Amino acid sequence: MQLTEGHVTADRFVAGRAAAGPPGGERPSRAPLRGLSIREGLTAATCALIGMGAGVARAGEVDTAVLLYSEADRVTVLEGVVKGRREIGESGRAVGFRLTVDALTGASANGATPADRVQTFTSPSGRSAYTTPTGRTPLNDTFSDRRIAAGATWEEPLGRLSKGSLGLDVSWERDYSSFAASGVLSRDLFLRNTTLVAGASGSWDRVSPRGGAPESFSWMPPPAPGGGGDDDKRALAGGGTWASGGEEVWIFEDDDEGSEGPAKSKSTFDLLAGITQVIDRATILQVNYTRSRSIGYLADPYKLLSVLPAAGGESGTLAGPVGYRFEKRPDARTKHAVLGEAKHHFRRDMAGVSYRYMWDDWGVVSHTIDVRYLWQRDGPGFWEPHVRLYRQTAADFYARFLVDGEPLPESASADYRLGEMATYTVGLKYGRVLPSGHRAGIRVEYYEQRSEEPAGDPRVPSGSDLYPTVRAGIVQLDYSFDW
Amino acid sequence: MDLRWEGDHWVGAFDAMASPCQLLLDPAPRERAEELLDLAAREARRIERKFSRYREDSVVHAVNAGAGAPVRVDEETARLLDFADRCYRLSGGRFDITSGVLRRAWVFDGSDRLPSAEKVERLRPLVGWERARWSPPEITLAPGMEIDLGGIGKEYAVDRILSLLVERFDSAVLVNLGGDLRASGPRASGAAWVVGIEDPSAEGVPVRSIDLRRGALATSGDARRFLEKDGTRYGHILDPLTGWPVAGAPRSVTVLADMCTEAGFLATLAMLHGLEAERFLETQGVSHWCFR
Repeated sequence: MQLTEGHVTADRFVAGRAAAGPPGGERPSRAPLRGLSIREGLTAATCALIGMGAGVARAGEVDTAVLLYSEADRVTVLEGVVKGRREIGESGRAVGFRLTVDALTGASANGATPADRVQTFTSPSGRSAYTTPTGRTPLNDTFSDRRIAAGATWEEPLGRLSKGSLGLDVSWERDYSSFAASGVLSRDLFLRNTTLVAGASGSWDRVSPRGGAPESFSWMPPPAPGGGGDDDKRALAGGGTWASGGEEVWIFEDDDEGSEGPAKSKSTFDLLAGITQVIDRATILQVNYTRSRSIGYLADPYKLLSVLPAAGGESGTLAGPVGYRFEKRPDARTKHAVLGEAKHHFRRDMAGVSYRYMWDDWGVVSHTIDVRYLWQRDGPGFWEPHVRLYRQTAADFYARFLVDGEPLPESASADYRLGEMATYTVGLKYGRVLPSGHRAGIRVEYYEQRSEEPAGDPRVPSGSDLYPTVRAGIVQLDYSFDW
Repeated sequence: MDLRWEGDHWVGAFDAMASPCQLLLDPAPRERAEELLDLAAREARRIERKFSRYREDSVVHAVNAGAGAPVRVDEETARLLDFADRCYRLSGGRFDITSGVLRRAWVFDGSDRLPSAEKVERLRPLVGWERARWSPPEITLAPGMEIDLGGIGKEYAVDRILSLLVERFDSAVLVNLGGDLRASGPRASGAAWVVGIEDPSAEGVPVRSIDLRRGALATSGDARRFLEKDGTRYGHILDPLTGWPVAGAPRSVTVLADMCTEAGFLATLAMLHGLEAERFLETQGVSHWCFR
């Protein structure tokens, strides 16, 4: 018995036994030894063989999460998500579902500018009102909304290398409802090292704010009798007031269907094309392009613009707004986005980086960079730091306010989400596998949003913040298990 | 199935694929270890049932019974056939899942009963993956042809079981199906699993021990399966291109690679290189142990 070893770790191979004598018998001509190319070709093949697990043992998974997002002095969102996916047999057919419930409370900037007097704002109907103290960013704190969204998907193999999926989604809020349908086709090529994806979706949304959606650029109605005072604010925040023959009748919004007055609708059609490429056994690259076209009522019925007196007027500097108009946006928007994402698996850790470039015909251009690193500890836990940077330009029609006496522009909005801004998010997640095999994690993040402060405008009180910084904290708990 | 605690790790044992099988686990609650052992054994038996050529309800049997008609296969089988197709091409035709029919002529029982050259010649037209029509998801074999996934099935099972286990268990795992094995990663203690390589002519006698933290070992060769006539030894590795045993093949080849399917294919292909087995393995840049 003779043992010959070879080791790749050694400086040189332990000398292998040389071929002793001519091989016996006649042999047909053979392909030449192909050296390392065999191993290289083999790697892709073994990945394709093992990588896509069509296992019987793991037929499905359920993910649950609870998210708390809280802005300082502003909006707080509490959201719960349950989603699951389960394969049916070994055919590759699968069903999925998703249920989201969230509750939003707190205040959101309504678009008006700070003023050197108390400002009172009313809903489109004039029924509910809230006030903003002197010099403060006007915040609409009448928000208290709950949303329920549900969706289902069906995945169907189309031949051995292609897959189709259909999805339906619905969501309800008191003043907003949405229905969406989508279809996606994917096809694997080149030993499954390449996947092409194409998809289309449409959504139909209906906005029916309390008292109906306001007409574009219409003046905010004056507060109804009894509404608007500081003392009434608390009561009004939770409901509305309705004047009838001198008597006041209080109606809580929960009982109010909010469907009086004109409801508005919008439609959105998205197209998606993408490619996923396995670069080597540890690296995956994905590039997606989406085009999204929306038409209909694209404004926010709760956003206002302050109409400030023309500069140079005698009392202009401190007189405060002459009134407020509801915003107006174009009735169509076409967005394009390209997303590139790379993931690399190290021996145990994993790094992911993505970049998204978005542009639209409203003049908004944005860049998003997202980086995360999964650090696998010895033992059952991992840490995952995360950084996200975002920057966008303002929409062409973004205006911080309107000026009295000047002709109205085609469109105008003071919604900070359409303004120039930069945001960053930093966070850390800890996750681990429990002895039961279930997976649990906690993620804590900090978010900050800033806008460039242009030179102070004489028409707003000095020292007031036209472009306030928004800070938020995010905590998410998640828990997953096999289904 | 049998599970016992060995000082600092669990050792689970079960039988599948006509081999003794083992599962080594870093510390975990006993119920967890039992659950994983059960999962591993079930998966091994599932793969065995599905791909055994001896079982009439297996996919391989259905394909072989196609008698010239196309047979539609499921996704998992298709991936295995894709892999076999790739191996065939990479090996220049040396690795061929249709070569099993040659066993009708060759019985390696240690005797000197070589088959007649005519008998081998009559079987050769039935060998050759290029004669099979693999048009996913349908495969068509000429009447009389057969496929045999025995050459990759066990290694595939090792990789499959390991990937199932690491999805559920974060600590170190080693899966061993009759000597083809794979470890998931370093143990919590930092120690390696110690794996012995046996002398093929003296079963149960380890001549090398290997510290294995991550990666797979697969062995090709069986010293008990040979024929010997007029001083010439004929090992059981048949060359599909000639229909005859490969001359000068080592008694056994063990290869270390990342995945067990990879290690198994390289070990088999090394055997098919006969006297050049060691040189082939060196050019592949893998750690290996060859017995002659």
